[in-house]
Amino acid sequence: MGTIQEGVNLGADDKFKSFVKKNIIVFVLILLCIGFAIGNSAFLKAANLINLTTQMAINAMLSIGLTYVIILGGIDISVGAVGALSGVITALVCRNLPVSTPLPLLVLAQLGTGLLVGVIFGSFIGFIISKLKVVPMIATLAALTIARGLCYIFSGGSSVSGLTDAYSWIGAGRLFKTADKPTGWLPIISIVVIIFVFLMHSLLSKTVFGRHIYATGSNINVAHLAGVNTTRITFVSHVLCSVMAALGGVLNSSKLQNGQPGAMEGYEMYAIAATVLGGTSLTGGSGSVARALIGCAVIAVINNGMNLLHINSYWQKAVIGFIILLAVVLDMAQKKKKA
Amino acid sequence: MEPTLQAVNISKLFPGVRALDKVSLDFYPGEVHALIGENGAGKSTLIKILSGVYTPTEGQIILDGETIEFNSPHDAIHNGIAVIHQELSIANDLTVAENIFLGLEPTKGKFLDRSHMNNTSQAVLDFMQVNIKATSLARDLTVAQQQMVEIAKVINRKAKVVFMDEPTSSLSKHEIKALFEQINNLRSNNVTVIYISHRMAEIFEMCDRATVLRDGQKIVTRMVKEISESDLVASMVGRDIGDYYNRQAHTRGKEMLRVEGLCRNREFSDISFTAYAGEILGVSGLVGAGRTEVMETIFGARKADSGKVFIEGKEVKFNSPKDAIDARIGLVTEDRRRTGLMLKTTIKRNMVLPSLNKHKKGFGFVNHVWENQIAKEMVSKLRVKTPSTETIIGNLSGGNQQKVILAKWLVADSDILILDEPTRGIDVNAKSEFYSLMNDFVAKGGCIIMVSSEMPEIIGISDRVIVMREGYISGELSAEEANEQSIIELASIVSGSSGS
Repeated sequence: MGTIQEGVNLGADDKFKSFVKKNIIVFVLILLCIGFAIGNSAFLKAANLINLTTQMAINAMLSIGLTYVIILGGIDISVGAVGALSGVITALVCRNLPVSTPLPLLVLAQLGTGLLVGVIFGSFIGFIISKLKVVPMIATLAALTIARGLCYIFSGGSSVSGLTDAYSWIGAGRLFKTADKPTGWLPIISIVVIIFVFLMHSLLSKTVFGRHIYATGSNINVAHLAGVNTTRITFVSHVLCSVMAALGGVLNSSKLQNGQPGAMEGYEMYAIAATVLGGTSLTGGSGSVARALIGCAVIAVINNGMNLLHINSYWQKAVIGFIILLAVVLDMAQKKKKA
Repeated sequence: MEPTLQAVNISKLFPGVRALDKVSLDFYPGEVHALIGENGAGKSTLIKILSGVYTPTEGQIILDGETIEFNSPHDAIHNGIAVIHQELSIANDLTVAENIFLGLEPTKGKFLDRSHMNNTSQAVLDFMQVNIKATSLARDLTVAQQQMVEIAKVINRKAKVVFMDEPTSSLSKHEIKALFEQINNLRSNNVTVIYISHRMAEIFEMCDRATVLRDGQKIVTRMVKEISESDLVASMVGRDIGDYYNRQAHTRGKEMLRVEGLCRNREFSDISFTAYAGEILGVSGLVGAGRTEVMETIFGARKADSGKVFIEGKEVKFNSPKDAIDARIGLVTEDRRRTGLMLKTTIKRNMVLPSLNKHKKGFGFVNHVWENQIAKEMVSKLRVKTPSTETIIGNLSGGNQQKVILAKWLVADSDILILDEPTRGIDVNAKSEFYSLMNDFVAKGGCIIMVSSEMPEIIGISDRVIVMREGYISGELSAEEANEQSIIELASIVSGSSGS
């Protein structure tokens, strides 16, 4: 049966409404910032805002990759554990490098190890999901447990430490040292995140590969019949997701200057939350990397703001949980309206 | 005689559109009343109002002489109104009896009275003279049998008014006959049946009266006996559409597709035929004859067990649809929503999907200039009614969606188009437009293979017809030889037991 909207142009009023609806998360972010700024004047200080970008960096890395698989209609709950595994292995590798290793080489070793761990683990997950057709939730639940187990096996159950200061350059270092800021003011980790957001956003929104991801997530039958190799698309997306998680793990390990087997526990939930807050639909077919970044910002702002207002950190978790719930309910309400 | 159900001056406004405009209708006990109109004419809205899904903006519903307000579908059900939707609402994992009693389960004390449920259900099914066991799982039934269960549900609830929305769309000829017997049953029990269908022949066979809706208004209600099909169609579309197949003389060109001895386990065997440039090859047969399976196999979406496919005389092996698309074949599937469209995506993105790779720029980037241009071009060429190429395709009518799917394969430069039930569920005007697009394609040297269960369509537009029966080709007919009689003879099962 036909739909009512046929041939009906949206009025200017409707256009405005749909614009607001589409960008509601941006307004939420702005409102939160205003609220916290009123609560504590320190919130809007440059130093705090720059801090904010470092606080959301790891979550951003995970969310970027997760966006790909959620658009496919899948999920990956192993990102936190894969990140931790990558952190442990990277720490182990770099501890065995000579202390005199020049910085560029060390950074290369860190990112290279992360990339490798991501590709291997992502291929494993991708194979199980795309070829063996295991439900993503179950496949990545298994992967999560395996990765966490490997973390403890490789590290012998304790934190991998004894790393050089250079090891923490990419995760905690800053550029542009000035007289009043001897440590530098521009966090390297934020630059890294921006580079990956740019690359991964372009890949998803501007390339044929990205278009095929959206198509597969929208309707896998249609995509297949349009000549899209949906198995390959699913596989590659999961590899990318794990690679981003593993690189996130490297940054986290570098930031802490160690490799903890128990690191990044529960980070997958924050990443899923950020992606959904950014408007990526859990049913697949729509979403964007840049928007996931806004979702990360919302979570980071809430945490940071509540810290400044001296709200108990246990409360912060509960609040974040409620906000995720709100985002999902809003998402569902919008869909119901459309249907 | 008093009408059972009356709609009095019913209007329904949605933001930006008047879906129904002062519609008044009476339905009498024991009549089968056809409700017809193009998509978007207001049929669905009217059904939804009369069955409690929507509340009318103005107007009244009168049931058995009393004004009534339905606050929910539940209200309507309790007042004896039943709707059998096109998509059946059968719970697959429940038994037949459980489905029949769904929502009205009989109890003995606190517990379910299963034996009463089973016995009553079986009695209803026996009364209907259908061979279904009340204790079997709904999942194990055919679509036709599931429909019978829906009717049993209606009888068991002693419904006074039954809406049937396109009840025959997925039934074969003899299943339709069985359905009609049940409708006659309902009629003789003084139930009002409101029958919604696009199929004129069925309306003339089954219905007592017919009401035509157009653009939300009631155009006419007439005794079916007193009108002709062309009258009805004319009042549906608001003009005389004449021969809407626009049959044109095509000139057959070179051989495009040849299939030799194609087999696939339990689906079809020994399929051989040839399709030429400049012709429309119709593929007829009953639902379940294996036509869709053959087409999907040719397209590389299923694997053949044996057999050969030739494109322009060269043997090809398609391992996936991608190979077929590269060989310039396009497939319009029979189920738009499931396999044809990305419903929540824009017209443009639906249209260019198979061709993105062919037109990509360096490093795999999408060529935005090209896609915007080609989408606009196609929308105007195929006269797709839409505000823009960025409109979400789910918001278009079926006919316009189908045009976009066709455009998808035109953008992909297809030489061979396989169309599987291309006009299913689209209205008369849109059909007519679709046929002329098909003619245009063939006139330019394209080759069309059209699978269709609609006899008039097959006869009206094909240059040649092959007929399938139970997985093999039972015959070939020229345009002159093809008529209802000759096709049915080839399509129906020859002797003994029925297929499903």
